[in-house]
Amino acid sequence: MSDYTQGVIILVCVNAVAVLGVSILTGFTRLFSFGNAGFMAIGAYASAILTKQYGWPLACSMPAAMFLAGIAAYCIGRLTLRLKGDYFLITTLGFGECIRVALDYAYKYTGGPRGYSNIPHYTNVYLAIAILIVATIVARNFIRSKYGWHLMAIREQEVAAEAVGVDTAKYKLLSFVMSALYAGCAGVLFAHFLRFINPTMFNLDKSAEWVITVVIGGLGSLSGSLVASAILTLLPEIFRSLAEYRMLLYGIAVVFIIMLRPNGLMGYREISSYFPRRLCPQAAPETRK
Amino acid sequence: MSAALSISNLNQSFGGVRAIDDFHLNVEQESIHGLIGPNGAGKTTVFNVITGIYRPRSGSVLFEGRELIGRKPFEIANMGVGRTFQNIRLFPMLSVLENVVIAGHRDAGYSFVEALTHLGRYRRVVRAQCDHARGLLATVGLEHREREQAGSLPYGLQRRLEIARALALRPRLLLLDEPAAGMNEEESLGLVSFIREIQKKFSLTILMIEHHMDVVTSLCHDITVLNFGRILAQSSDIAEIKKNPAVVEAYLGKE
Amino acid sequence: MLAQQLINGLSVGGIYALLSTGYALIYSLLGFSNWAHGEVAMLGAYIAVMSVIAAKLPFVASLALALAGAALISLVNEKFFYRHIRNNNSPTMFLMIAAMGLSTTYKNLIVVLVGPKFKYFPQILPFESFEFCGINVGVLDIFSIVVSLAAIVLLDVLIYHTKFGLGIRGCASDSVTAELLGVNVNRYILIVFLLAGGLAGCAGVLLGMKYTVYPSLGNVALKAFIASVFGGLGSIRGAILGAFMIGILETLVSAYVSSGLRDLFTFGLLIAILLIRPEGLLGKSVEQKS
Repeated sequence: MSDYTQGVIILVCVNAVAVLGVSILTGFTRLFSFGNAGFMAIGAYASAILTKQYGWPLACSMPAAMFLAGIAAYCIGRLTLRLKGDYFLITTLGFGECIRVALDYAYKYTGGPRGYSNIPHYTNVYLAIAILIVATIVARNFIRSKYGWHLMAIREQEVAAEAVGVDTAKYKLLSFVMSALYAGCAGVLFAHFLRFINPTMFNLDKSAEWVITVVIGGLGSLSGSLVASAILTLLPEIFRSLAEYRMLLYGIAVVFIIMLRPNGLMGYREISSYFPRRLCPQAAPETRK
Repeated sequence: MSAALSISNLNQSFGGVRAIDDFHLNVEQESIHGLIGPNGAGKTTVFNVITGIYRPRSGSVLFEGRELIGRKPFEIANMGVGRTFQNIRLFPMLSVLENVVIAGHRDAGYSFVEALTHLGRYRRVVRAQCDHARGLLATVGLEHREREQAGSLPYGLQRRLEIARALALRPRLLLLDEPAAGMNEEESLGLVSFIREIQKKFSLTILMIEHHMDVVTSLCHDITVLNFGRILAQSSDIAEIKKNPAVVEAYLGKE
Repeated sequence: MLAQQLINGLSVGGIYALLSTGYALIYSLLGFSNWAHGEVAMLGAYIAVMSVIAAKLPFVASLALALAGAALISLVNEKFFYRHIRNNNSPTMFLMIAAMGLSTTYKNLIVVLVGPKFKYFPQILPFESFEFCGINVGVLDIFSIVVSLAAIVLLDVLIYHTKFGLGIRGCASDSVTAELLGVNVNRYILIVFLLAGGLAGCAGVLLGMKYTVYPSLGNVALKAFIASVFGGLGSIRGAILGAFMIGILETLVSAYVSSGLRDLFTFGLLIAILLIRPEGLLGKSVEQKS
């Protein structure tokens, strides 16, 4: 495999991991966050600093970085998840921008706007694929457990979810933290792949891109999110000449998908039987008309 | 018999308008209590106070001797208070079976790690819960439609599904908000025997809001009539309520 | 120094207000945040700057063209996209996603068609600044304060003191009932989009004159969106109040603390206000009926 091919595969994995998190949050809980790139930034910077400055191995810095991203999400979520719809959205957006500003400002530790370089190179194509596989299995199992079912209940009908005993505040927070853990993990992979990071890599456009990917893949479909993030990362690489049209096509695709196929390419459906649509195991053969 | 639900001195107002004015109510264990009154009388508001959606200005709501006011809706549900909604609130994109399974999940005894790995108790618990849910669907007559999308069921069946979902909580008190709404005479007769059946089967205490007087008359042991947030009459004798001049006036207007 | 900063803050706040009222108008009728609103302003700025530079039109004509063009684009958004989605009976959230898509589309359309380079308005006002009572006042600031204040006052009169405004407020408080009473709700929605688009176009031109014109100029509208959240989604007077608060806060923080920390303060204030008043300053809390 050429370096270029490996690089592209790693980028697909990084995006797919982050998008899985957004899929849990937006596709299954119907919460919108425009701040997930902020969690990615926390993961990337934390692991970069821990490995380079303090000589930690990746096996320790990755959980630590994800943990930090999760803690940040927990604190923000505790404060803001009780806000409704757009009010919550704008606070996540604010959080993402604040992280960026804070990284600029703390230049002593982060290198500020000039970026942080010479990060140890740990991410290779095998590690990236392995992490993506683990992330996919965990997300699939999570969705197919009481946790995921409660998230879907919140998505479908929040008042009814409470009425059947779902602690909606707690589960929304869980969903938000999960998405932050995924974003943090993606950040770690990203930092140790590029070996150079700067705050503008993790801006609002990045967060918006993930939300758009999930919408295109289909709200409520993990496999749809995976396929969409692969397509959307690969297409501009395959059609190099189209690179400058990439975001334009993104935008147009979103508008038409939401108008014509409101549930996305794979809305509420999964591609492979590995992601069973049904929550329950089949009953004994039933008689159906 | 002791009271399963006991409400006293309940007051609620929205933007200066008194929605509930000094409301009180006792529902005996395993009885069916009817709450009737014209539109806008405050009946659903009473339900929303019991289930914790609204916090009243003052008053007390005791369920089996425990105060409900100040608790969150999900806590009240988990204490054993199930409800249905006037405008049906199912999980429309999920299947019929999933709607019921989700509700029974408070006692899903597996840990977060078991959930992420699908190891340990996970499989056993999920199977047990699905079986339990299938049993409830059989009770409400939906056993052959478990794979259909809840939102695409016909209206009457959606109401039944909502009841099955409430039953999955293993409630001891069930609040039904206009279960017979939109039903014809024949269907509401079927509903009467259905409610009586589940009441016996699960030893339920039921408080129901209903407009169909024949449903109320044939089911309820006690009746409370509400108008403009105030109690007009409260009795176990239906004939007496029907003769009560205040009730007649509220329903038919001043002659 | 302080007076100078306040004037600067008022001029920024005025521009924000032109945009935030648009967010509020649309939110009050349709219940969603129109993420493409900033791009409408950006397109307005491009129309003006291109007609001045390329077509050599006089400034006033290009300003009028920008207003009309932005209003028209806003109208197109509603007529061809949002209305279609509403007719699908999709959740309101989908309107917001579509608006995000439109925002990305417009931004990159400009990158592809015009290029990512900055465009400058030529010197239009006779001179840049003058001394007044010992402070240095920018003519552009005064110009933008006058223009935006005039537009805001007109809007306020229109919404709160005319029969037409009553119609809009009626549709906003209960569009179903308004429809039943024979009000043509869709017509009001169209007019509101025209109005919001025109205001956005005006804001775009002022922004372009103050800074420069570039494809992601619409991101400035983010601050205006925050202002409308701040004031309470759907509240027009709240949006105006929020816009001026943010404008003044931003210039003061930039001047006396650090321009790098400006956004941190804005968002900090936003979160603080929402924690105390989850519906914003002048927003109404809506009881959910079950």
